This record gives sequence, structure tokens and C-alpha cells, in this order.
Amino acid sequence: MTSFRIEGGTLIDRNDVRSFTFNGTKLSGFAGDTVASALLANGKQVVGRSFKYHRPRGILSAGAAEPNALLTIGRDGRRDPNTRATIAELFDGLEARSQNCWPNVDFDVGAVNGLLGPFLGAGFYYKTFMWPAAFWEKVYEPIIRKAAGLGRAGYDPDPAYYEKCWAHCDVLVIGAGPSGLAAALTAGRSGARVIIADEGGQLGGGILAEGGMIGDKPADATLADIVGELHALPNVEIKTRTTIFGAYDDQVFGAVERVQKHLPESAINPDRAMERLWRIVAKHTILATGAEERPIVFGGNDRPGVMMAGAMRTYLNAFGVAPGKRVALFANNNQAYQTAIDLEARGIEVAAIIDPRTCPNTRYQGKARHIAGAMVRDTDGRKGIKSITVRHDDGRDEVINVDALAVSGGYSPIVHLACHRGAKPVWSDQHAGFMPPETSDGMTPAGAVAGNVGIASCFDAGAKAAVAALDALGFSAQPANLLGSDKSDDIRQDIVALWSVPSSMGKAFVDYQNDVTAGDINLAMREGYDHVELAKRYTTNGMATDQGKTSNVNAIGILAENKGVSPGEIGTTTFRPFYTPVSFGALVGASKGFEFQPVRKSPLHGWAVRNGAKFVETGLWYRSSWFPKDGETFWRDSVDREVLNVRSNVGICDVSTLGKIEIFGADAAEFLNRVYCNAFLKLPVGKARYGIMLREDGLVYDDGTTSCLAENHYFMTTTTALAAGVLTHLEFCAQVLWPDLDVRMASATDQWAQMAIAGPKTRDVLSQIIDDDISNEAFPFLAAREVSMFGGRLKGRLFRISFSGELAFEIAVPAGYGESVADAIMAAGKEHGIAPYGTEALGVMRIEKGHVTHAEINGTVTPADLGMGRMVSVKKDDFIGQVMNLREGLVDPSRPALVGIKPKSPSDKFATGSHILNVGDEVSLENDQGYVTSMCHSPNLGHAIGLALVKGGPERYGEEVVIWNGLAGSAVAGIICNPAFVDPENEKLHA
Amino acid sequence: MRDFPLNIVSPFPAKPAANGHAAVHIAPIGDGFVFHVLGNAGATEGSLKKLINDIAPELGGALCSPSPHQWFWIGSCEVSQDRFAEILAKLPDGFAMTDQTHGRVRMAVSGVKVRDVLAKGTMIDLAPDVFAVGQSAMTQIGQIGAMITRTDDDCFEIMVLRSFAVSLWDELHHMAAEFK
Repeated sequence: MTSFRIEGGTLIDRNDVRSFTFNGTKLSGFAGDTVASALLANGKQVVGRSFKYHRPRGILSAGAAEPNALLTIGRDGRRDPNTRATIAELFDGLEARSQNCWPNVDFDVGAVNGLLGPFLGAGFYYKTFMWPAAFWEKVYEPIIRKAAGLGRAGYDPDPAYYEKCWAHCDVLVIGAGPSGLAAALTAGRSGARVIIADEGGQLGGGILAEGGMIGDKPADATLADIVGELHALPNVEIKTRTTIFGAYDDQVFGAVERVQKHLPESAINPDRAMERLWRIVAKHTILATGAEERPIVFGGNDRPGVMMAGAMRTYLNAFGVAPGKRVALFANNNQAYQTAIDLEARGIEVAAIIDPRTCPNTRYQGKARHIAGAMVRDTDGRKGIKSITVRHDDGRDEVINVDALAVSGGYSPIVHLACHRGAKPVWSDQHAGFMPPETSDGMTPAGAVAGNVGIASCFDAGAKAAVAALDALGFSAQPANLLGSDKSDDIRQDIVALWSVPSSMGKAFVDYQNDVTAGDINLAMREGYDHVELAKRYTTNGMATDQGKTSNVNAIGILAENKGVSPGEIGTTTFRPFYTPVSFGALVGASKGFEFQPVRKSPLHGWAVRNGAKFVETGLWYRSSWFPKDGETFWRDSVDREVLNVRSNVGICDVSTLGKIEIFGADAAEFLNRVYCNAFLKLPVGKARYGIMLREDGLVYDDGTTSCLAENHYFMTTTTALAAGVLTHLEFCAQVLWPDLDVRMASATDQWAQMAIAGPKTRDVLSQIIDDDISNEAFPFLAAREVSMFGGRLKGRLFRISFSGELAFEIAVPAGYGESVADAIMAAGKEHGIAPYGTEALGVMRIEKGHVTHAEINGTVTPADLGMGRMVSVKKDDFIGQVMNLREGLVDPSRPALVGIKPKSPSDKFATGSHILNVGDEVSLENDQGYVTSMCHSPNLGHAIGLALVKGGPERYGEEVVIWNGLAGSAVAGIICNPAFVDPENEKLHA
Repeated sequence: MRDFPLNIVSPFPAKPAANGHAAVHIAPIGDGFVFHVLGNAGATEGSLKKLINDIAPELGGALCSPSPHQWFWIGSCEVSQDRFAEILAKLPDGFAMTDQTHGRVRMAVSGVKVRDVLAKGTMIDLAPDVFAVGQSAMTQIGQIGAMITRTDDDCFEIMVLRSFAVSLWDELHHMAAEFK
């Protein structure tokens, strides 16, 4: 006989039938069923295969700890492997498949592994796959990797939307069993902001499995009253289907809410998150996570039909599913007897209660035969249990025919969240379990997790814990009385620890998910891996998706028993997030696809789009890269044209992304003088100056221009890449290094639309929109000041600076006006042949001019390396990098220095990153003369050009070298030259 | 001088349907000014308020502090560049000011579900009795830095760097989509 549906079931709605498939077979259940309860109701005992031995496995538990019933649910992009059938809620159309079996779960070829059991003990692959060494990568590892794991992730993209949220509360109640509900109600009534979270679809926890009375009312009525009141309290936030998976510093908890996982495809709202990752900030936490019922390790304890006693009771009362027709109970504690009572109340025969205690529970008054001082040592049956073998205290064996066995080895408080911040749980002989750490750290355990037994006791504990917490938070609270006048609830645990049955026959499993047996634990001990952390890793006990929820304490108990010490001396392995598996989708949240990262758009973005720009991502910025015209099919066509046009006519380029910093204060000049290596103290109003910032180690950090716009007011530009970094650096200098200086600064990058207008016809264009005189006499090179534009309708900032090497200005206007101004410049320049140019053309022109960027300022160079050694002030008292810049190694004349590089033959090409060798030298590190930092095709010169850092630097102008590219396998003859390929005398800049 | 057209372009996308959420309303704030005031170590909000009242009482507006001794002076009226220069000229030594009207743009987010939407982005506790009307805070909304100010019961104003405006606009709409 197998499991089957019976009358009752507080959680299911028999009027709402749900169809689903299991391994392709069409089955049905009811609304409220879990996949596990529906499978049991349909008599499906074997739902999966074990990891190593491929043994048939049934449903062991009714909750988060399930080690056996791991299914793949859904298909295509919505395929979820390793889903616990005991948590997954049934919906119409659900597709579930068993894992780790071939060709099917009932007949699995992999079961042959069971015959190899003697060779597959703990650490077998450490010992087996030692030789030959060459086999490891080519043979062993591929095979092991193929065999590893249970479910397999799909390759289709998940169409669902995920998101992350924050929540805040005074009191976070974790777990909505009796203690959690009492705590939440107590806190809610006090007016405190409360969040109560539970991984189940409904509040109630252990109450949901209660079939009888609570106090003087039926259990379901009591629960309905409590839940109803909680829902009515506006200050209480109820989060069901929400697992608190981690406890972090400052009372921040991680949680995952399965928002739509329980819905059929047709009911999913695509605008709503499938799962939501919560960061919950609480002032105090009530830990009401309950306790996990433990199995007992005995021969054949993994046979389908063997189930935790509490789980059996849940299926019976909450889902109306009977485990079989003739059931036995093997338990070492009083609480488990309630399962026998409930089974008998539903007409299920309880064949025997096997209790290893010699003084068994005297409260039980049922019909079952009570065998004291006995243990189950074996089970029998192929794909379901048919009988158990009981070893009596006198050594006699007795076979009892049953079709289900309920097991209870005691209860392990779910202490994970209390231990995530490093505290260790404390062993209790009284409870035969590890209790929460004694340090509270803003968290109060209440209920079963703290050792309370029974509904009444948990109600009381939860309410009292909440009162104490609320008192500390300044709320006046009274403990909620949820029992009415009847407070009878005197279950005494009276547990006698039993980890493993000594006389077990066959395989006795400690860890179901990893196929770890008691023999494996014993073997690990014999081989020296007797520390709990070593034993875990040697045997794999407690690993994988269930993280040993049903196995860890038994393994610790066995280790302790064998060493003759208390489990407390063995201790536990380290508790770390996550409590249960969290999907990658939830962890990623919305940051995927289009929203992977934010996009920064220049104020001229729309203008660039209208002019046909191709964009390039530069950090978060979208920058105009080039502007193709009709007929231009290759990027170089556009870039060459843009460069030539600037050199002969005029071009406009968006440089809004450059960092811009406004600097104010009476000591601003002194401040700049200290952060730049060159002099800034006497920069006059209306002038700009190129500046180099060093790091403390004397190497170049960033460069840019700073303009003095007024007394005590400067405007600094930085490279696009280091805009934020430079501002942070300046703030550090102002706040930490020189707090005595009167200087203040603010980022203005986004305030200004800035464009470079370059080329010999620049003045012809700008004079049409700028009211002020911009002749060379009135506005010479490096002039910088506010100007009137458009007949006084707008003011902008005009800078006579040039990165291209041409006659050029940069004009900055308030960002909103950017597009209008750029349009006006294009219109004004039409008759002068103006064309927009992008960052590619800008890059070509700066290489032609020999200007450096972060390709050269790469964290290894000094100003002298870049040919700007004379800029470093020798007069200033102090500036950042001053001392370290004079280190012996940084002033070594043999250091690589900036040069130009060109191919000896104009038709030859070379690449950035190529190394420079002396002619005739072999390729070796010792012979390396330097490397190419930047290169491009110069449309003006008609051949490739580049910048390079080469030993000897400018002293080697004219020398022939070899430009060697190891990646491409090429070597071309090159000539070292002046890096200023265009206008080396700077005549254009001053035109 | 040719008479070129001169218009201010909003960084926000023209999206008429943007206001279609029943429970959440998202709208750009196009008008007004944002001045970034930088005080010295002795500067206080009280002294700044007095100063504003003395030199530009007609502007009104509110102060939001992004960091110690710094304020965003935000108002709803238009301030010309010339008027800004006049105010700047009247600032005493303890204060400096820079116009951020174009650099930091604002949007109004309101509705009964506004806190649910913003909780998807910010770690700031926006509960009515925690985050009072008029209160503001610098924060991150998703990956984007922003300043949130509560302007009414279920109304907030978000100020963000102009270059991030489109991303944040899109993200807020995505966050609010479930409340359509």
C-alpha cells in the first residue's frame, strides 16, 4: 500500500482541482496542496534518486529541510532545478520532473552504483583518482563533473522580472508559527512597526498541522482569529512565501519573497517581480524559526515510506493525505506521539510505537502496541517500505509489516540566523540539541527554537519575548493571550538522545542528499578527519542544497559518541547565509539586460542622434564616436573625413563628459598649487592653465585645465574617466590634509554642455553666435572667461584651449541650452563646411599632436616621462607627490619617455601594445626598449602613427627600431620621432 | 548677429503615457532653480536662510542639505543668469554658490504606492512618521545617486544628475509598472 488521500485537510480546497504532470504523467491535486502532498495523495512514493547510489527516495519532510524530493519544475526559461517539492505550491499546469535518474525514476540505470557501495565510501575519489596523474584532467575530472550535481539549469533566458527592495521595522518576527504569531500580535497591538515573515504560503507554522483544539477553540479557528487581527493592523506587514536567508551586520536581514512562483503561467503578471529580494532593517528581531525534526540513523532509513513524524502529521491534518494503512512510529521523544494519536483518530492503524527509552511516554492512551527499549534496525521493501525489523532490548529481532514508518529523533532548533554573525550555538543535554547563542545582539529567540514545546508554551514565549523587546524600544505592550481560558499544554519532551542505531543492518544514512552513511562518518574518524569541519568536507555531510538541516546534528552526535565526548565539545560547522537556496535571478534583481547598469547621456545626446552619431560606451557615458555620412560604410571613412575637415575647415565635438569642478574660497589658489605639480598660485583671472596632478607616489594621476574665472573662483576640468575620482581626491585633500585652507568645491559636470569647435575657420563660426571679441588679441590662447552669446540672450563660458592641436575654443553653456547652441553652431558653420566629429577623430588628432591621455598616463609615468618634466615646480614649498617624484628610480635618465613612432615604410601598420626593439636584437625582456601606447591612421600623413614610451626617449629621434607584435606575430621597421606629428611649433594654437 | 532659436531641452523623454499609473504618478519638474550653496565651517542653515531673506527674498524656495555645510537651494521660479550673478555678488565670504539648475534635474513621484516603488530603489526609510514632509536625504535609487525630498503626504521629489535622468526615469517606470 502507498500513501493516499483521505478526508479533511485544513489547507486544501477540494472544490479547486489542479492538474499537473509528474515525469509526464498527468495527475491532479487541490488548491493548497504542495507538490509533495499532491504526489503523496496520488500514491507517488518514489520521487527522486539519491546522489551517489541512485537509491529510490521518497518524501521525508514537509518543509524547507527536504533532502530527497528535489524536482525540476517548469520548462524552458522558467525551469527551476532542485526545487523542494515540500515547499513548491501546486498550480494548474505545473510540470515536475525527477532528477538524477535515467531513463526514469522508477528504473534508474545509475542504481548499479549501489553495488559499488564498498568502493564509494567517504573520500573515495581522493584515494581512487590519484594515478595516473595525466588522467585527472582528461578522464577523471570530466567524468566526475558530469556525474556531479542533481538538477540541471536550463540554457534559455528567464523571461521573469526580478527586483530588490528595502523594508524597515521596529520588530522583525521571523517565522509565523505560534511563537511568531504571538510576538507579532503583541508588537502589533503596541503600535510598533512590525514585519512578520514566513516561508510558507500561509501563516501558522506548526498550527497548520494541528488537527485538534488550541485552548478552548479549534486550531483553525484560533489561527483565523490571529491572522485576521494581524491583517487588520496597519502597522503590521505580513510577508508570506518569504524566507529570511541571512542575518547581517546592523540588524539587516536578507530575505527572498517568492512573489509569483506559485502561479500558473497564465496568471503571471509580467510587470510584477517573480521573486523579490528584500533587505530588511530591524531594530529588534524575534527569532521564531522553530525546530527541525531529526531523523534517526538506522538501516534502510531512506526507504520510501519512511517519513519524519511531524511531516506525516502535517500531511494528515493539513493536506488530508494518509501515509499508508499500517504505520509504525519510531521515536525517542514524547512530542512525536501526537502523530500516532492523529493517525488513529483518522482511522489509520498504528502497528507499533518503537521507543528506545525504557520509560516511555505514559500520556499515550491509544491502541498501538508500545515497544519500549527497542529500536528499528532495518527496513525492507523495494520501492516502498514493507516491513521493519525491530531489535528489542533483550536482543531479539522482530519483523513488523508496515507500509509507512514515522521517525522522530528529536528536534534541532533552527539557529542559523542567530549564528550568521559569528556566534556559536550552545549545546543543551536537556533538549538534546544546539540552542541559539546566549548573546542577543538585538535578537530574541522564542518558541521551539528556544526549547519551548507545545502550542501554549510557544504562544507564551513569543508574547513575552515581544514585550521585552518592545519595552527596550520604548513601546508599552501587554503579552497577547491567545489561548483564552484553557491553558492546558503540558507536553514534556523527556528526550533521550539517539543518533544512530548501533545494530543497524545495511546502509544507515546520516545525510540523505549526499548519501553519507554512519559508516562514512566512522571511516572519516578512523582516517583522522574527526574535527567537525574536516568530517564535513571529507564525507560531504551537510553540503549541497539542504546544508545538512536533517543530518548535521546526527553527524555531530555520532562523532561525539565515538569520541566519548558531549556533542557540545564537537561543536557545529559554521553557519553562513544562505539558509536555503536563493535563485540567481533574485540576487541579480533588475540589473540585467537594458538595466544592467545606468546610462549617462550627454546634454548633446539628442543633437548627436539627430546628426547620425555612432555611440561608444565610455564607462557609463554614451559618447559620440563618429558621424557617418551617406556612402561611408567603414568607420575609418568617417573618422578620416572628420579629421581632415577639422584640419582644413572646422568641426564641432561634444566634450560635455569631461569632469568639471567648481572651486571656491580664499585659499583656492593655494589649494590648487598644492594639488597640481605645476604652479597655479598666480594664475590670473581670465586665464586657463594645463595642470598635472601627481599621486603621493610621484606618478601622474590625472591632467586637465583649470581656469580662473574670478577672484577665488576656479573651474577645473578632468578626464572623463577620473571625474569622480579627482573630486574625491580634492575633497580628501581639503578635508583631511589641509582643513585649515578656505576652499570648497562642487561637481559641475552635468551643469554644462561643453563643445569643442576646432579648425582654421573656428572664429568665422563662433563670431556669429558670440557677442564678445574673440580675436587672437582679445581672446588669446589659454584665455578663459564668461562671454555673451546670441545678442545677450545667453551667457556661456569660453575657453581658448585645444586638444586637437588646431585653433580651437571650447564653449560651455547651461546643459539645457546645449542642443540649441550646437544646432546654432552647425547652422553658422554650414557655409564654412562644419561637420561634427566624434571621439575617434578626437583621438586621431590628439595623437597627431602628441597629446597624452590615460593611454599614456597609465599609472607608471612621471611628468618627465611624458616630456613635461619642466612643468614640475622646483620653487613650491609643497605639492602632492613632490617628495616621491624625486625618488632615484623616478629620475633615472634611462626611464622610458614619450616619443612618436611611425613605420619606416608608410604602407606598414602596427598595433597599440607592440614592443620596441633595437634592430638586430632578439626578442627578450632584456632587449625590450618600450612599447606603443597609442596608434592610429593619420589621414593627414597618410600612414600609421603612434605614441610610445621608449628608453632614451627624445634622444633617439630618427633612430630606426623594430616594432614587434608578439600576438600578431609581426615585426615592422619603425622610426622614432617627435610625438608632435602636426604643427610641432604650435602655430595653429596661437593663430 | 543671426537670430538663432534658443530653447531649453528637457533631459526627460517625452512620454505622455508616463503619467498613466493609477497608484503612482511620475512627472518631470521643468521649472524652477537649483543653486548649490557651499558654506565654510561656520555656516549654518539658519544663517543661510537669513542671508537668502536678505538678498533674494522674492525667490523663496527650500534648502536641502546633501552634506555638512552644503545646501541645495531649490525653488519653483525662473532665475535669469543676470539675477543669479547679482545674488552671487551679494554673497558674503562664508558662502559660495554655483548654479545647478541644468545639472540637477527633478521629478515628482506621488501616489498611494509611492513608498512601495521607492523602496525598490532606496534604503532610506520613507515611512510617514520617520521621514517627515520637508525632510530630504541623499541616497541611491538602484545604482543611481539621487536626493529624495518628501513634499507632501504621499509625494516625493527626486533630484538627480541630468546625465542619469533618463535611466532613473525608465527605472522608476519599471518599478511602478506593477501598480498600473
